[in-house]
Amino acid sequence: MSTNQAKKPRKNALVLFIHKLGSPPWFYNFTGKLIPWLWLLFGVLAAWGLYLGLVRAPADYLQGESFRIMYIHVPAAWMSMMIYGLMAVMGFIALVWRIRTMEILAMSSAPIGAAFTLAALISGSLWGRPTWGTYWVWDARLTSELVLLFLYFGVMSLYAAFDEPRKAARAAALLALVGLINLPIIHFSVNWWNTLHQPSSIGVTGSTIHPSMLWPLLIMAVATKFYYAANLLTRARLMLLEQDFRKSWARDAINGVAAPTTHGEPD
Amino acid sequence: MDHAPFIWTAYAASGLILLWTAIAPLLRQKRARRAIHLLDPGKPTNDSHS
Repeated sequence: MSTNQAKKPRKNALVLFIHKLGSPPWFYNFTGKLIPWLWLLFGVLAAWGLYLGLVRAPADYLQGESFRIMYIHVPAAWMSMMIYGLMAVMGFIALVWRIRTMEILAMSSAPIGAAFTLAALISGSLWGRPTWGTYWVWDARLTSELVLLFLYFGVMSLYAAFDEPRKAARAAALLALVGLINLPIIHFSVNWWNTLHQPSSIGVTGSTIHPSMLWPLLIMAVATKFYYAANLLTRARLMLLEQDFRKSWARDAINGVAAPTTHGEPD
Repeated sequence: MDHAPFIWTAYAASGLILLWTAIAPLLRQKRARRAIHLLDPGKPTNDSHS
């Protein structure tokens, strides 16, 4: 072995993978192969979860049939918070290390998170009417979830307000980071204040839900993760194409020319 | 109280929101591809990358 080879540091596989993700052509091609599988997994899991939740699970002894709204409401609410957290983390990475694909992933997360938040609010409101006798109350959990929706709208609007996408992403990432304060408020609101909303039924120590009702919920929770991943990557690829449409790799990708197998430096 | 209308409306509304969120980027992608192809009309478009 020559001296030069001995001195050359070996990159570990994870670092190499992250480095490759920073290359737009590599990211575009890699995610293009991944997306159909993510949609397939989402479809299978969602069909299975909904079948178990809507058909097989017994009616709740207290709430009757209306508890079945849980199988869309709870995963949507979990996703609304998880996506916001991820968006802020990706935004932080984008701000510190200036990785463009991270900026794109953070900004692509916002509309998906907003959609889940809206779904959680609407389904929760429709669950509230037969359970509490009202569609809406201005209590801590509902209000803080509504604030989350406005935070998503704020991030999306701020990103759209700039002509230069990288400057826009940095400003929006900063807003996303500030809005992080709302996540613990949403989570602990049912413990900190008196609210109509019930406290968490699932915790780190276990669950108070019967397994026949719990499993469909967990399956739906996993299904929504695949939905997010597939939707996020679809949006990120599109955003890359729109930003790089004058670059040769983007035109080659559109025209069906095979992308280079080697990757460029992350930008 | 019959709970079915609340359940179905919750699923229909959430389903529509998530469906639109999934379809919207695909429609935008089609427009973007067409626009990029107009810049470089020499080569045929290939939708295998969508």
